[in-house]
Amino acid sequence: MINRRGFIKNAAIACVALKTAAASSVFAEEKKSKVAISESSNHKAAVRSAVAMLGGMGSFISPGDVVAVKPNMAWAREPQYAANTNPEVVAEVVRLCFEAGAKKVYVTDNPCNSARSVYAMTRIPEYAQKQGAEVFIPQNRHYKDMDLKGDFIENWPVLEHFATADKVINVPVAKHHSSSQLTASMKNWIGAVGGFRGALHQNLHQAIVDLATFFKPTLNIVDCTRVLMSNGPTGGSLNDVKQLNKIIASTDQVAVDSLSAKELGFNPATIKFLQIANQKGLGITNEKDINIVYEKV
Amino acid sequence: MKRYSRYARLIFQIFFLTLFLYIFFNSIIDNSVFSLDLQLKSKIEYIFAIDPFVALTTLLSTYKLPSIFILSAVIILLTMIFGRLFCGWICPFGTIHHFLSFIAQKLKRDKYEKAEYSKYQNLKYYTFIAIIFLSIMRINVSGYLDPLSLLVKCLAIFFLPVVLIIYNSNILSVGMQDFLFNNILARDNIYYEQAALFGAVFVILLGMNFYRNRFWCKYICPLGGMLSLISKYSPLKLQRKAKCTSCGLCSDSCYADAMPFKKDNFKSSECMLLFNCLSACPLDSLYYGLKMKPSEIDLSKRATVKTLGIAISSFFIIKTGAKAVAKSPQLIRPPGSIPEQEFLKTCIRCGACMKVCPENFLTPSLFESGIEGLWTPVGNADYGYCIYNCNLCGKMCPTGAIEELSIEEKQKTAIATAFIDENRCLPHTYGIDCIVCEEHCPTSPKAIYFNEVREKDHKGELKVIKKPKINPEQCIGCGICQYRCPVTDKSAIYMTSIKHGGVKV
Repeated sequence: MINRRGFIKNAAIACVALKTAAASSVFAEEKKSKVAISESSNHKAAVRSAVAMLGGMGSFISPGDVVAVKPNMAWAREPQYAANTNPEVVAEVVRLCFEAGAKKVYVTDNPCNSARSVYAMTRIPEYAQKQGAEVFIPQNRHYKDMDLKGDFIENWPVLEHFATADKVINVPVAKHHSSSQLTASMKNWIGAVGGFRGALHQNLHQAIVDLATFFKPTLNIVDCTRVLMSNGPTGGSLNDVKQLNKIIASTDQVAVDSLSAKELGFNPATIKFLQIANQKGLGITNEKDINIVYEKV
Repeated sequence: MKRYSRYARLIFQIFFLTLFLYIFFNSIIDNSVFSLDLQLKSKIEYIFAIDPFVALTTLLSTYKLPSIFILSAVIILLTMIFGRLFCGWICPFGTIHHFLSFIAQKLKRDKYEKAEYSKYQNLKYYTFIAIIFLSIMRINVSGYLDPLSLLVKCLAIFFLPVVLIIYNSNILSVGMQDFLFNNILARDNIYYEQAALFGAVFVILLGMNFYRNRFWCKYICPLGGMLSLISKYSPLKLQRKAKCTSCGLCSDSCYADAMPFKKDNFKSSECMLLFNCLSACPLDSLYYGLKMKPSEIDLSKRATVKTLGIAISSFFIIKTGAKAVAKSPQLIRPPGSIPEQEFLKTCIRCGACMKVCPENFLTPSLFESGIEGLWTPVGNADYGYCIYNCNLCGKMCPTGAIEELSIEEKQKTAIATAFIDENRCLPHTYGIDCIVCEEHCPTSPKAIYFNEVREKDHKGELKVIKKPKINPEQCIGCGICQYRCPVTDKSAIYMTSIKHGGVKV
């Protein structure tokens, strides 16, 4: 029988036990972040191999999970312009989620251009729907005001699927951004909030870090199959697009962004939001401290 | 049998009202599949296919008859044979009025207080004649009083925002919200500055049914007036048999106040074939049959001359209230609009383009194009923008005031030009980096570029600042930069109606 005294006592013991256990596990993880880079002209195979190097989707998703996949689906541009995530990559991620036993997979994003055009032109919805994902255009009712507890952003409307789903998988595209220099996994969260996002651009680097701290992606799979080297984030000219055929995946957003930055020819040390995130302890920017595994399929 | 004729009428009314509402509400983009070209699920322009009044005024004022109006000949033919069948059996606005009159009847405290025929019912003939006079003088004002145009406008500008309020208020289940979004709203940015004005007009018109049954139809509706005049010689009319005792019960039940056989001065041109009288007659002495005697329409010459006077003075009021296109910065017409003078004659102010505009760019104008341009579509980039790969407004315009452009043509059609208010723009005035307008610009190459300048920001730090500039030759005036500008209260970048900034002709 549970009485009050016994309950408090047990709770106290549990607290202490958990605290020690948690502390020791943090200690144990003092190691480097692991980042998987896989290269293949078959983009689906590249996704598979990158996820496999991190232990397979099964180690991230439990059977019956509701998964929210966050592609970068912001601009009304066709896939070849590299302004949005490669639809094949998103479709493969959806497929991996279902293979790992996911109950439901949502794919959505708050686009910058007219949602309907963006959803059509990026072709991500079409590919994801074929794999059984639920794709929808976010409406006002899908946003809930949440306390982001950031240094810059406090209360802000958040696309609730990315805060309430069991698992969140971030599938951004790496590209040049004329304001933040780079957009990959951390900046992708700007698409998971509503409100008047133009106002976030005046302190963009801090906003990116605040959002990346709030959203807790289970996995980040950065699409570097083709990247926009300049004139980002919207591009529009194939001259700016470079074929890399790479997928970079990690649980550490900062590490994955630092390596993506290098692919684009930037020095992570000059990218302000990465430095803020590094100082804050959100992840690692220094390549030496990152455990990189590479595979060419 | 006769007793059931009004149920037949009721079935037709419900059928046509449902059809109308289906076409109206279903004229949205399908949001469950994401195909490349934007298509409406149903064709809202066909609502006007059965409107002979708008067809006539368009013909008179533009000397053109858009092919969509060909069906309206059927309505004229039906009216010539049967009388005002359209008003009683088909017109969706009439059906809504009829329903409200029915409610009003049920709510009336004194059931024996019966309305009689009023000579003011002739007003509808004069509104019709005045509008025709104006059309002959090549001003098309039919859209303001045409029942179908008015109904589409009121539903689009007032009722859809009402649905949106209900939708957003979280009193509905998620399933209901999904249904509303996918079948009726299709977008959740519906805002019109004039919505309340349209709401007032709509509610007053509907509310007048509590004063007189079908007030709008009897007193004002110019389409009703037109059909009444056409029905004058229609061979089929309501008639009575010899056994009629002139008890007047038929007149009491008449919503149209056509006074069937109370004093043997039945106004057959007022009759909307509602057939309430047939079931009200205790002796079953009324029937609908052949009678060649034309209806009496007591239009006085004196009043007709007065109407002409009103039309001519309206003509001059409207013409003196005109505004030069070149001097109206807010007069941003949808892409594909025909030249302004033709546009004003051709547009029937139905508001359908505003309803289908997926990003709430098009709104009803007030006086941007003078008095004559009231409620014509203008783009307002404060509340929406013109989507780069959308040509829906031109696709569905019933009269061709907005011509259909291919997507490629549309993407090259300038409707306005963006200007930067350097006193408000963040990089220009505070030295803060902000790339929002540039990143949203859809043209290729972009119409907004940066001037990189090394100077002090508002904190006194020396740094390189990206100052946005406009390339007027590229800018097509879609307005997304104005809509997304972070200086929200009064955007630091704004559209005005000049094309290519006056740099390129």
